Amino acid sequence: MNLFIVELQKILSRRIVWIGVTVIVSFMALWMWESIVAAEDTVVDGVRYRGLEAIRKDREIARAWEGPLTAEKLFKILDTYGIAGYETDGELVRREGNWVSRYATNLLTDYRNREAPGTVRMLSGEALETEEERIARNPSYFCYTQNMDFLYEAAFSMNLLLLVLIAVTLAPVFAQEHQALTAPVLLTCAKGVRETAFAKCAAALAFAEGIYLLANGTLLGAYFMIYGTDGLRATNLCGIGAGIGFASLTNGQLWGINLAWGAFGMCLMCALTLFFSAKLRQSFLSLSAALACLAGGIASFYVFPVLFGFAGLRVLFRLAGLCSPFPMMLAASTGAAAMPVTAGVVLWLLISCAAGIRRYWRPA
Amino acid sequence: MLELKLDRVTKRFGTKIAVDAFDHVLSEGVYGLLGANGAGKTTLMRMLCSLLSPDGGEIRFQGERIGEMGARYRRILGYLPQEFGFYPEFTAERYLTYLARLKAVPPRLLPEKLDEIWELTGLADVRKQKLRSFSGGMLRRLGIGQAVLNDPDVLILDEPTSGLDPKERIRFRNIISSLGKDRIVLLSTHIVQDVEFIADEILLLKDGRLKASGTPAEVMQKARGHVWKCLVDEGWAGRLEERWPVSNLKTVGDQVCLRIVSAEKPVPDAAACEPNLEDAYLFFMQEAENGREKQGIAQNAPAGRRG
Repeated sequence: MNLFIVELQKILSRRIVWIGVTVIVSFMALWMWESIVAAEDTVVDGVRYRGLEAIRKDREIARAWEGPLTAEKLFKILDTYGIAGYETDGELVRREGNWVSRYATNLLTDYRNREAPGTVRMLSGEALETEEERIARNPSYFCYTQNMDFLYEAAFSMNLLLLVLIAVTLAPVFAQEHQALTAPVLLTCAKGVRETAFAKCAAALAFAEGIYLLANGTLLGAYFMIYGTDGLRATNLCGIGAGIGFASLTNGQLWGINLAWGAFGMCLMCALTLFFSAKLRQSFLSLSAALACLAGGIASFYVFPVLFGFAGLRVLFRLAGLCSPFPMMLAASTGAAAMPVTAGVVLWLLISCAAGIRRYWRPA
Repeated sequence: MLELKLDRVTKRFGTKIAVDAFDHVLSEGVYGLLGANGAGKTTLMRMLCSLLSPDGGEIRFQGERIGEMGARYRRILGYLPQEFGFYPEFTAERYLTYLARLKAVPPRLLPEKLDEIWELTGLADVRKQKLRSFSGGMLRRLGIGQAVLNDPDVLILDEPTSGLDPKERIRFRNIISSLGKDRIVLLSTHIVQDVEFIADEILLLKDGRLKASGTPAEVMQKARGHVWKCLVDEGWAGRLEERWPVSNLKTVGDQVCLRIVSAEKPVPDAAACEPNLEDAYLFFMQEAENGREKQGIAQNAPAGRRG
C-alpha cells in the first residue's frame, strides 16, 4: 500500500472537492458560452455570421493578414474592409465589420474616443502620428487573438476560486487527524511521523497542482477548441506584456509564464494551508488562517498599491500577495524585475512552512 | 529481557501535576494500571508512547531514552488510545493494511500477520466491511489488532474495556491475556476486575503518584486485616458509608450487609474477611486520602504547635 495514494484518496474522498470542481468548471463553461461564444458575430461580404460560424470566418480572414503589425497593414485592412462602425441604442448593440477590420478600426480611428454616436472617423494629424509612432515603437506580431483578454480574466477569477477550494480541501489534512482522534495511533507508528507528513504534503501538493492543471487545461482547451491556437503566436497580449517588460514574448510564452507562476502560487497556498493545519489542529481555524492570507494577497493587488505609492513598499506588501496566481497583475505594478525577488520570498515561505509542518506534526 | 524504566517521571499541565515523580521498572508481563478518573493514567501512558514528553525524570527502554530512540522506539511500540479514532470510509482490512505500512511491517509478512489478527480479534467475517458499520466492541478489537500488528515489545492499552458490554469485556480480557508473553503490556483501567485475573503486577495510581504495586496477591495481602463484613440496619448503613469506604452493599431482608474497608473494626460485631482486589484498591486509595488529610492538617496547624 502506497502512503501517497492513501493520503490522496483521503483528500479526494471529501465531497467538497467534487462540489467545488463542478461549480467552478460549470460556472466557467457557462460564462464562456454566454459571454463570449453566444455573443460572437461578424460581417463578411454583407452577410452576418454568428457564434462558432462567425469565429471560423474571422479566423480565415485573420490568417491572410498574419505577420508583423505595421501601420501600413492596418491602413490596407481598412481599405479592404472599410471602417467597422456600430449601431447603438444608447448602448452598443451591434458592431459592423469583421474581427480584422474592428482591430484596425480600434487603433486608427476615433472609435475609442468617439463623441458622436454612430460616426467613426479616421485619426488624422498629430493623433495619427502618435498612434503610428506607438505601433512602430512596440513591434507586435498580428494574428487572431479574439477574446484572449477575456480568457485571461476568466483564468484569473477561476484561479482565485481554486485557491479557496485548495484551502477548504486541505485545511483538514493534519487537523482532521487530531479532531478524529486518529493522530495518536499514527504518531506512535514507526513511519507515522516523517513518512506520513511527507505523504500528506505530497498528496496535498499533487491535489493542488492537479486540480490547477485540470481546471486551467479545461479552460484553455475550451478556448483553443473554440478560437483555435492562432492567438498564441501573437506578441503583446492585450498590451500587458509590454507594460511589464515582456513585449518580445509571444502570447504562448506569456501563458507559459502565467501558468508556471500560477502553479507556484498554488504550491504556496497548499503549503500555507498545511502549515496552519499542522499547527492549529482544527480544520476551521486552519481554513480561516489560510483564507486570511489569501485575502491579504488579494488586497495587496487592489488596495496596497493604491494606498502606498512607492515601489519598495509595494514589493513588501506583495509578500501577502504571493498566493495569487498570476504574475501579470503582480508585475503590472511592480514590474517584471520584481519577479526574482518574489520568487525568492515564495521559496523562503515554502521552506518555512515545511519546517513548521515538521515541527508540529510529531510526537513530543 | 525487556526493560522499560520510569525514573522519577513527572508531568505538569500549568500548576496541576498530572504525574508526580513516577518510579518503576517494567519488564515482560502484563501490568494493570489502576486509578480513578483523573489519576494521571492517560498522561503516564501518553508519555510512555512518546506522545508527551516528561517535564522531569526520564523513560528508558533497554537503557536508552525513548525520546532519543524516535522511530526505533515506535517500531517496537503498540498503542491503543483511550479514545480510538478511525477512518469511517476504510474497511477493516484496508485500515490494518494502511497501519501495517506505517508500522513498517514487511509486505511479505502482511497476509500471515493479518490472518493472525483476524483470528485474535474474531473480525475475519467483517474485514471487508467499512468501519462506520462497526460496533464499539468491534472497533476496540480492531484497535487492539492494530496495536499488535507490528508484534510490539511494548504494548500500551489505555482503558481498552471502557464502554464495552460484559461479554465484550471478557473477550477483550482474554485477548490481552494471550498477548502478555514475551512483551511488556501496560493496561490502564478504572475497572478492577479487568486486571484482577490477567495482570502479573498491579500499579495503583492516585493523584499522579504510585501508591502501591505488586502482584494481585501481594496487593490484596497488604489489605488483609482491613476488610470487614457486618450486618446492620439501614440507618447505621448510611452512617458507616459516610465514614468508611464500602466495597459492597447488599440488602438482606430489613438489614444491610456491608463490606467495609477500614483500619479499625467499624462495628463491634464486624467480622474480618479476606480482601479481594476491589477491597485492596479502596484500601490504598483511602490510605492516600488519609495521608493527604493528615498532611493538610499539619500544614494548616499554627506554626508554634508543630513538631
